[in-house]
Amino acid sequence: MKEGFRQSMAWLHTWSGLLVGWVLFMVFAAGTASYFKDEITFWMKPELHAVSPTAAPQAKATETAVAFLQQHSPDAPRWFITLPTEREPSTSVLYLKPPPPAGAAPVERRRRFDVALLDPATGQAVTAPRETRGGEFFYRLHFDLHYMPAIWARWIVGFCAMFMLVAIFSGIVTHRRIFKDFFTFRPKKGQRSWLDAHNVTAVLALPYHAMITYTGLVTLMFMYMPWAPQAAYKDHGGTEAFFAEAFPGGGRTQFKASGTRAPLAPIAPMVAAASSHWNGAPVGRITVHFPNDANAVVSIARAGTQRLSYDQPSMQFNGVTGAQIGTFGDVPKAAAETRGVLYGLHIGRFADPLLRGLFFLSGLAGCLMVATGLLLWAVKERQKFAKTLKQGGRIGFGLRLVDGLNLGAIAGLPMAMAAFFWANRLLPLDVADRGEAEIRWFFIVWGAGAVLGLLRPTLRMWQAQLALGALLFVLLPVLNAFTGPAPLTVSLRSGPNAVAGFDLVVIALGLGLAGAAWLVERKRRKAISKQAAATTPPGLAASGQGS
Amino acid sequence: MSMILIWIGFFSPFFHEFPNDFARRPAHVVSASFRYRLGVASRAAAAIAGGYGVAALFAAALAVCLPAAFGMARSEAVMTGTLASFIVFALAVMWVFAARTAWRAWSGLAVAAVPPGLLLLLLTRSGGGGA
Repeated sequence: MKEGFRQSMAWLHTWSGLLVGWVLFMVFAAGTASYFKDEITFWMKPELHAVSPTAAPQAKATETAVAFLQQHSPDAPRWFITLPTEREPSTSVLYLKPPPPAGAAPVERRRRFDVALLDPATGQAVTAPRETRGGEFFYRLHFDLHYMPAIWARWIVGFCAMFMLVAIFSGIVTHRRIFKDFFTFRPKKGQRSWLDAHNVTAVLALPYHAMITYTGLVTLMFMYMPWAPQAAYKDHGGTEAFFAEAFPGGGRTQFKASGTRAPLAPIAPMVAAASSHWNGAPVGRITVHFPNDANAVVSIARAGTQRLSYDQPSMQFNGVTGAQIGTFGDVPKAAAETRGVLYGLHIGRFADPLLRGLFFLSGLAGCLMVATGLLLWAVKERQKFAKTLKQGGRIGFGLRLVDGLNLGAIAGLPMAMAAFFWANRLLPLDVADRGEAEIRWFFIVWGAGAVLGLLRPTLRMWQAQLALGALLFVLLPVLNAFTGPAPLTVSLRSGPNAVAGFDLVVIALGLGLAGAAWLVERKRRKAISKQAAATTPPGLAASGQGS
Repeated sequence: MSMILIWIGFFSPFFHEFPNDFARRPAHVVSASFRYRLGVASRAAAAIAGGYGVAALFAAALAVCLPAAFGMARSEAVMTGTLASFIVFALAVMWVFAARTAWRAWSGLAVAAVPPGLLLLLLTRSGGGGA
């Protein structure tokens, strides 16, 4: 019975992993990149590389940001001010545009607001950077995918994440000798090597994989599993009441504009009051609901870099009198805090550079785990066709499909990601809807990789796509040197550190891909010499060995 | 949901390494590939729909029971129930594929659904709760 359980779990692990593997690979890759989304965005705006904003105390940064917003958008329904941090030395402001008049065509979500980066000391907008989604693209791709309504995407990604959780649980059961397996690597042994590689990447970062999958589900848990609030609050005000109770100070529905104008109270003293209430902890984000309206409310949240939890304590002030309305989240509730910490672990905003780097490496291990798992399936499945192949037959349609999808997903994605960065620097600055144009190049390259992979799932194609990806990544610092003011020679010595870090990481990623391409080349050579030795009719071994 | 069933139907020619509860069967059962596929499809439905149902019932039942039993704050109970439900889901899926037959898989889920279902019925006067 025990052996039977292990075997059924192995079956479950294989199939649940395969069915969602391709989506998971993309989700892992995009999520891993998102750990450095601020740095990626910064790299993609070379106009900012030569500008170093003047540091200023939070009170000053608040004042200058409010002055900017009063000048540019005094009638906005909402302002968001994110004060500078170590990772982002500029103040960033986002302001909603007043809603279109009734009857007008609805505005696309991304066009309903404007953003600007400000010098904290002067409040001047720093040189207008090029239009790009930057790292935000990977962040959204991670759970909203693209070219489809976000809500569908979130269900698809959630479904895959649930399968992943099942695959992790069943994988743990399957690997009876999980600890021993970790120290086992048998290279150049075909299927066994793939299995070992899968085990190493999976077990090495197992706590991370389990954590990231479960916490990923937690980030959207009330969308996936809305039944608990519905059942418990059915007679107590409905789910709205639950959210108001569970996340006090977070809602915005309770604020209504009065329509009467009233001058906005100075916000810097509120920031000072909030900071001293939190024993001097810095302020993160300031939200002004209906500025210059008689019902204005200022909501101030603590900076998110100080604690694990995603939910930050916040304070609210009357926007006209400046009087304190309330404080929220000072005494966290156990379960709510648990969720907040799980959520915070997933997005990792608390992490300092070293820990962030470890998260990044674990994410890469996750990509490799999914990739080796997918390849392992194809290698195993191919053995079933060994006899047919020897007799000159063809592999099954399913295996061919998996081969093609593996190629397009695993080798094609890095190529597409690199192409996105190249498009960022090479597209003309005035091209219409430039941010979306960069994204289009990502999908054009990925689509081409997938189509070619499906048409010719051969070792040659693996090699070509891996090598092209390697080339595109390794040459990114060169591209940066020619199209930006901070080539590696400068950024290594005098910053900006984010640009130097980006350049070094893409070189490392490119070398990794080049290594993979080299391994494929060796395998291909071996296959060719084997083919020459055997009397197999030509043309079979090439397609027969493609994995 | 239906997409997944199509996927599974599509791949089903390769579903020949299913656990040994099938291997232990007489040869004619193993070779009856239609019945085998039906069994896998049934398990997939049990895992996805049934597992979700059981998880949802657990989430709702915990959210309703914890305040009644331990005086936990209602919002806290909702959090606890929802956080736990994903683990329940994963375990339910594992149970479905570990059970000896598809029929046992379904009945196991049904048995697991009874306690939270009953508690929900008892504690929410107006009927079956959210799930």
